[in-house]
Amino acid sequence: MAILVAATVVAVAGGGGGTGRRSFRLIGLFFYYRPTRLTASVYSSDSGDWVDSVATLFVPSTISFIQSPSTLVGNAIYWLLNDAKTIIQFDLESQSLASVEQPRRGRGHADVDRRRHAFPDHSRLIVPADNGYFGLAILSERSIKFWERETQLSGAATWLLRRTVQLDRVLADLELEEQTSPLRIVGFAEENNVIFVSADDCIFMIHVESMQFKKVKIEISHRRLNAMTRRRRHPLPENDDLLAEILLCLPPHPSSLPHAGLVCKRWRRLIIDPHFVRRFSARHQTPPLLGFFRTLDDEAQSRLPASQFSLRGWRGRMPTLNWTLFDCRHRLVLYGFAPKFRITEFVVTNPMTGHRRRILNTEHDDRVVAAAVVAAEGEISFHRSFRLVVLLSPD
Amino acid sequence: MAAPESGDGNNGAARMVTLISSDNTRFEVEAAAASLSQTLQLTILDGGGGGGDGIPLPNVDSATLSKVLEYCIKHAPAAANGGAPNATAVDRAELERFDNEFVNIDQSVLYSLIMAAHNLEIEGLQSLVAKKVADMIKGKSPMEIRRTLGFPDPTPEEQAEMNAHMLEYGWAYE
Repeated sequence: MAILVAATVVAVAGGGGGTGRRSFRLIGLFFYYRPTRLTASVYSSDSGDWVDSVATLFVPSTISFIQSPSTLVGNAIYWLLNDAKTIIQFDLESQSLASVEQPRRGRGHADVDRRRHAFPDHSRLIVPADNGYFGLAILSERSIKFWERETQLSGAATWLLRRTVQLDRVLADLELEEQTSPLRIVGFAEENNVIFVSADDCIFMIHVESMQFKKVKIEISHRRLNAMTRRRRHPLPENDDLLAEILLCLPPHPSSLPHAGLVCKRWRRLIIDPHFVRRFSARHQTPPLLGFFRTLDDEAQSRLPASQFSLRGWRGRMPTLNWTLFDCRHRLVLYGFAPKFRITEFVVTNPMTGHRRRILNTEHDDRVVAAAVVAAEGEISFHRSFRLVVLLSPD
Repeated sequence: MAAPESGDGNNGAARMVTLISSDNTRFEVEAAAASLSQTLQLTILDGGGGGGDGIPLPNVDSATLSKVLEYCIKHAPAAANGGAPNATAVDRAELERFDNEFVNIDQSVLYSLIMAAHNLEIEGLQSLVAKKVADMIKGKSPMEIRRTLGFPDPTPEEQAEMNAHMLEYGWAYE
């Protein structure tokens, strides 16, 4: 029996047959015993089928569950194993699986083997590198080292230390020099290329390219209705063109369009109109930075009220406790529903529009150990094609 | 009415046109300012609005029209420079300051303004007001949006429909 160890979603360019619905793929990684190995399986939203990849990757030891969210760089998805030694690579084009060894720690490093294996590694992160390959950001004490994978003429690949960023100045600038708990990498926003680091109860973000830093305000409060707004007002002119102009100016936050859609019938008609959705997407080409999430040990953290990601009211009213947030990428969020430790279904949702797609995990009578979601470049739409990658591992 | 302050070009006799609001008030403005309206531009290019004729605007009342023209006069020099690629940062900051203050007005005026901008096809003004209205409703729940924009309270049927859709979406909503 195999165990799903990871899953991810990818959008497919040109998918959906011009219906405005974008196709996507869901990729799952599965783990088998005797010999210990990983395989991948890809679900396509167009065909509605799971297809097992021919690729098999033999691994030295058991992989139970990959807690780190995946990172998409170029055409490959990367997972960081909890052993702090291995990176799993799944190439979406060739459908091949590979493992890459992480840079070895130099002698004298205090953080060697801290027995954190059971938990997500809060010191490492796969990031896109300048050369188009993937790199690794490693946080230790008060600096971040950026490593890049470089292929030599001989064909052998090695790790090169590109840059070391000292965080002392940053912490001082952000008035965090007094912080006592160790710094932790808590999230990464792929499309914005931003790393989130926590220091005590505060979180700051680092933009990888510009090396700019900023404190993040985590909002959990709800806006209270201002009594002033209760006054009866002059009504907005009933003109769909004008309404579209106004709604196009709304920030592309998860709540914007769904809330507008609930205002009245006319508004709802407009926000589900594919032409409007296309214009809205085109206006907001760069996805907004909503926040980040960590699996298992942390709750989803967001700059927006958590209730906007609420799963309440989903069909069947499944208990929220059994939901696992696997991945978010390309404006899509991937959840798994796991009553009794088995993922029975995945849900891919677009928080900006509220669109959802359920994918039953009936093909694999397995335990999910990881999952990820990916969308393709070029096409902008709220109805995305995606691929789901699932990693399995036996009981 | 107030003459435009920005007399930079000083090309002596700038061409003037007359606009007539729905309540029969006559407004005399520079053709360059009125031409920010795509609708008026065609008429003006055809030689309309000059002399004693005037261009009637049956959809726009005088209060709204004076506000529209205030915007046009302020934005005309920049528009004449073709989007003002050579405008200084100071000029742009000044326009931005003007815009921010300009839309800081009562909602009813705002709505008349966006309607007029739409009919007269003044793109900049339309986006400016659209942005302002969007800012008023962003981050609000559907009910708050309705109240902010002066919708009447929902009928029981509307309320039931909203609740049904809300469940479907699963969004929190007070």
